[in-house]
Amino acid sequence: MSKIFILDTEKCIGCSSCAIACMDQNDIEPYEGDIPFRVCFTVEQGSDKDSPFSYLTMACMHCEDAPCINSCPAGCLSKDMDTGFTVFDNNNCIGCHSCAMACPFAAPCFDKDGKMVKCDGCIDRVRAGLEPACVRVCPYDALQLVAKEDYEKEQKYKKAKILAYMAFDK
Amino acid sequence: MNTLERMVKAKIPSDETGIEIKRTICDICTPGPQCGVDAYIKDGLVIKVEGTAGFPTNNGALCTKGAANRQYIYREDRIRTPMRRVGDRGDGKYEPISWDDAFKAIAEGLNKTKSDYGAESVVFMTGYPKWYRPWLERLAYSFGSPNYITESSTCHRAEVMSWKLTYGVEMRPDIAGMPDLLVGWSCNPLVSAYPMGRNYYKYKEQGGKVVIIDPRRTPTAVQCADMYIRPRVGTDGYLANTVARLIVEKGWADMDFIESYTHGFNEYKDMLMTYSVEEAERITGVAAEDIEELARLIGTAKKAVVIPSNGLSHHSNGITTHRAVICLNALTGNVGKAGTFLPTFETFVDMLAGFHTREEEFRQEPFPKDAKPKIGSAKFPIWSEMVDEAQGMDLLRHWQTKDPYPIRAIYAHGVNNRMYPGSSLLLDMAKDMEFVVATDIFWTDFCKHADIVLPACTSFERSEVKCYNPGIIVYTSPTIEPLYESLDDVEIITRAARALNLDDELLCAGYDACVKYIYKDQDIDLDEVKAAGTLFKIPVDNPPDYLAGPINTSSGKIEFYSESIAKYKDSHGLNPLPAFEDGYDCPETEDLDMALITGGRITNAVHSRLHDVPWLRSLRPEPSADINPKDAEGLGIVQGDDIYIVTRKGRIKVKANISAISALGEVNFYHGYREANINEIIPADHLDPYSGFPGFKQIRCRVEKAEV
Amino acid sequence: MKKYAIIGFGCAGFHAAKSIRQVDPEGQITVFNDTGQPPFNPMLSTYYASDKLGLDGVFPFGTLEELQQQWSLDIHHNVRVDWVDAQSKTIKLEDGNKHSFDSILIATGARAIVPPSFREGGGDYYLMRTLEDAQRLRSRIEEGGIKRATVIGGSMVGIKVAELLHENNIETTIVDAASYLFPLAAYESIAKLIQQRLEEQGIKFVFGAQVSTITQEGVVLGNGNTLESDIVCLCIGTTANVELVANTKVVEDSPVKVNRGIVVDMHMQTTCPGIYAAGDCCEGINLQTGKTQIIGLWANAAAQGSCAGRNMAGKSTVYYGNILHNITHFMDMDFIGLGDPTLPGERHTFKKDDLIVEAVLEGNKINSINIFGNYKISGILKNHLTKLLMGGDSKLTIAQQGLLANQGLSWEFIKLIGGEI
Repeated sequence: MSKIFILDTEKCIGCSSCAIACMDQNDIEPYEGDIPFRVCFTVEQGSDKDSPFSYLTMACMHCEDAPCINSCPAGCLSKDMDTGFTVFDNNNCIGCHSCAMACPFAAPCFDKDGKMVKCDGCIDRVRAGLEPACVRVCPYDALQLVAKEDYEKEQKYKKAKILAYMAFDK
Repeated sequence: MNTLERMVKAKIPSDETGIEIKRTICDICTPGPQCGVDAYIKDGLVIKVEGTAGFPTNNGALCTKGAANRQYIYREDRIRTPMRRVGDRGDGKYEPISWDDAFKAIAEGLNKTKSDYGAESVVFMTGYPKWYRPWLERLAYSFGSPNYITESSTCHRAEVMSWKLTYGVEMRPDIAGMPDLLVGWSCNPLVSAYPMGRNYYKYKEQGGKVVIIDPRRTPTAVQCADMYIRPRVGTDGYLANTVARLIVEKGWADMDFIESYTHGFNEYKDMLMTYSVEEAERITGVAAEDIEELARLIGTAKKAVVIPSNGLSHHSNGITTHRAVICLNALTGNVGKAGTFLPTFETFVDMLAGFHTREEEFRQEPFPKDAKPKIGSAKFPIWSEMVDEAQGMDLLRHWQTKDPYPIRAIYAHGVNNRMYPGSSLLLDMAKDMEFVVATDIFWTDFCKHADIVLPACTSFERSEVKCYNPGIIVYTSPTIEPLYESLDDVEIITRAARALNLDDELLCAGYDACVKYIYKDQDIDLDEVKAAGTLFKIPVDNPPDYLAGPINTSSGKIEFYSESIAKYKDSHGLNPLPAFEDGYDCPETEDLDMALITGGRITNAVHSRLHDVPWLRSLRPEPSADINPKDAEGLGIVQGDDIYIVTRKGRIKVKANISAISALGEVNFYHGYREANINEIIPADHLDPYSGFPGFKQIRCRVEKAEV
Repeated sequence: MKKYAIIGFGCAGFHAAKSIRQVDPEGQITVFNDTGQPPFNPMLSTYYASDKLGLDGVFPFGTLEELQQQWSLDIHHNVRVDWVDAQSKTIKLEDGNKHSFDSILIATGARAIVPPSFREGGGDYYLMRTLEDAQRLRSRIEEGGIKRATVIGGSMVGIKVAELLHENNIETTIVDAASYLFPLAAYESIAKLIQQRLEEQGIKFVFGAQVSTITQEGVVLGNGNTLESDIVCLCIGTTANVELVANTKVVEDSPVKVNRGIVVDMHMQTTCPGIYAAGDCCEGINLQTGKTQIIGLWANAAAQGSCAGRNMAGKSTVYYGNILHNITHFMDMDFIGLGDPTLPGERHTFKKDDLIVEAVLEGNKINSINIFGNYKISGILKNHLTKLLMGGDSKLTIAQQGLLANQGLSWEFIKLIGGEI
């Protein structure tokens, strides 16, 4: 069943627990040349006490029509049919960075060997019945992985946003 | 990769992958919110952590800090063996020694100081973590010293004092009882204690209304507040008293309640009448209509809880401000009923678990008879009466003046000099000591000033009994062997007690025997709890009917006018009423035209202990101060610029983070950085005369763009 | 059952076949391939030549057998198509066989340019387009004995070839008639900076130089000087394979229009109904100019092929076009060119540490962007620029702004390129 990551932007505080859990899960060492798959940040507009202030967490959005897949000259990226995750096998990655230029969310990273790595939705955890590390850790249940049809059906997700949509049209 | 390789890489626990989950408790932050952790273990190493599902505080989640436990426990700078100093204090030259030699040296050093100067000349100090505190306190007293000092001298104890002064007991809001209004006064639980933050979200989801009052625009203010009020830093007392006046004037005060349960209302009311909305607007910077709306919300809500936080007490006007804020609850009768404030008490090691243990007895029983007055007694008498600890903020003065007796040795666990205003003074003091023992997990600056340094282990490497509300007990077992030659703190204290030949059988018997003593009134077999490794539930004590009394204050009532403070009205110039006082360290000058706020939590740090964890440091690689975009513009500063924060005590260089987190004219900066230690430039004598707490959050400063 | 013919089996041909199959499970898809290889990506040739990629790695979609099976294709390989008769819907192969079709795609790709005058000097040269080109250069390097090399063409391919020669400790000179690197993508300032960095690493440049011919001694320039070289690599671009169209018998009054490439509309249909074209042989819409232009990029070929395939199978689909965009990663540097750098406007520069972003704005309109030193932000800016040109929301989303700031861009610059909300 196809799954999507959603973020309740009214609950996220940009605390980065998801980013740390991702580093722990994927053995990412930012001071040894690894690029984190997930980043959290704030966006502020204005200087007043009530000016717009947003907290966000971003990693691969696992776009339905992921532009990175066709951009890869070496065919390293593909869709997992069960989960809908955008997965990769970087064996043939040439480090050309074409996927980075295709991605609207800055998701592709390159490891110390110059090969593409990124969030794979913790697909092996999901296959084993576990949640992705970032979703499991979230103290406020702001970041969730839900079945696509549940998201469309259920009221309780109505406040949460699919960031992929957000990035394309606010 | 084949399937098994993929499973191993993904750290899937199973027989095939050889990855096993073992349970422990995160011991990074303060005990209250500490979370259950599932440690993923492979070949004796922690390879991943996750929150324990169903655990009372976290139910599967973890905060930013807790999620980094793996890097925290494997930090490069772990102390590996007991060490003896071979160079000068501070230069970090040490040689490894055996545990036996270490304890021999400790016994010799401490006993010599005792015989030369008296037991009180040895101070027993601690910082983080806190789980071993009752043992350290008992060690101090069994040794004969009244001087047990913790970093609670700057943390939460002042808040407890304020509650006890006013209500006779610490009170907690019953948020689950759904008050109509929640006013979080300088509360930022979404960052500082996320299990409480989850309660805020839950409360909101169930229709609760939230007001957040905070000089800093915190995530709680952004995400939780239906109304956000931003007073100038340190003016909360004026705001609270103005709101109180409006509540009285508009007839919203609960006069029946006041009549029955409070003391000193007339004096309080007279004082309130000197506060005005106009003046409040000028002093606090909050618009008159917002002040009036706040009064209306609190005054007219059927049930409202005005929740204070530690932050309010980290000012030189901390106790009076805190009291001014919590008086609003008594004024509106929001006390002692479901959905309002209810009394609480600590069960064991700061945990509120709803039942009574013999912890206090365990700690206090060997308190030395005829001991000389503990540090801080003369200067901070209210603290000394109310808190079972010496006031550490008077330690440096005491050391410098030898008044009334000299301080000559330190026995320390987890002491961090960067928690002290004028931090380097504590190191100077250590240099002057005849003997210093420091136990820690990591090589701190303080350790580098000790004669003997001992390696402690983390919660992953030891056992601990821990309790949670309501009546939940867990007894952990180690998830991995202690790293290097480290031991757990209580084992170190136990062995020290034995080496010192103390006449304290219980303490010398070790942790297990002690907890059995402490929990002996509970109908529970701790061995069984430990063997099971899971959560045990025991009955909780019936919550007392607070209003049925007696209320544990001098007057037996809730005290607007504090009789305990009144005793020191003349001798110490203290005010029994919660009047607003200026909280700055000096008058405003052209040179020092901004306000510095420090210590407010950020998500990736607790004091100093996480600044050297690479994952966490990477989130905010450089110490950065939040300054308002308009101030930045005026100062010609852009994001990431090097700036100086200058106080009358000196300056530190940091990066600018341009953000409306800070109000105009205010700078917010986190503490504990080695390369930019803000507490070094906070005056050590800028203390709250009631509690002894430093004015961490209200210091005159200026910001300068650093030349490139 | 519908009959589809696909001529050429590169990226566009493959994606067309795949899309047809996804829409029409029954149709007969016949692929005519003039090589014996599965779809090959020319971009991989330098990686293959430098041994960074094995033979199994250069065919990103799999082997011919796998593709044949997975997508139920009838693949005729090592065969040339002589002509197409649009009227009778027939093609004739060079062996004389004929095949009928209902719908046809021309995806014949492009080939490396070799000016005839270059051949006259009698010197050998290496190209870098096909697998055979890569194999040949790889063998030559393995043979050894190369001290000096000249790369003609400061193109994206040229730079990768220079990198690979440099890695083999060969003294390498890049010659180009233009006055700086990547003139179709880079601003002069950025190009000069890249050049400087490359020079620091030992690569030499001769700009503004016409090449007369290639002799056994090396490259003879227009001024008569010879750049002595042990090998010469020719990387001056490609030309579309449009010859088949010349042999196409078209529907009356609907000749297949060819400029530099075969002109297509937004459905990837040529000016002759029923004949589609996609990939490097065709000219689709350049979103910036509104005119057709060859945009020879792998992902563009994929998108065009998919669009063509869906239309051929009866699912009306539009591909609005693309912008000029390139990312090239060489010698630990990233250069990204977005949009046409020759379009007019005012240049704005952001510089911090190793990151440089320059943008040319005409009023509020972004005409082009150059990025040096950060691959992460390239996708955000490329998508933003594309969205702008497609008439979408002119503002960067909050998420995109945050990501840009996270990568070190100033809020001032973010606002400038569309961040104000």
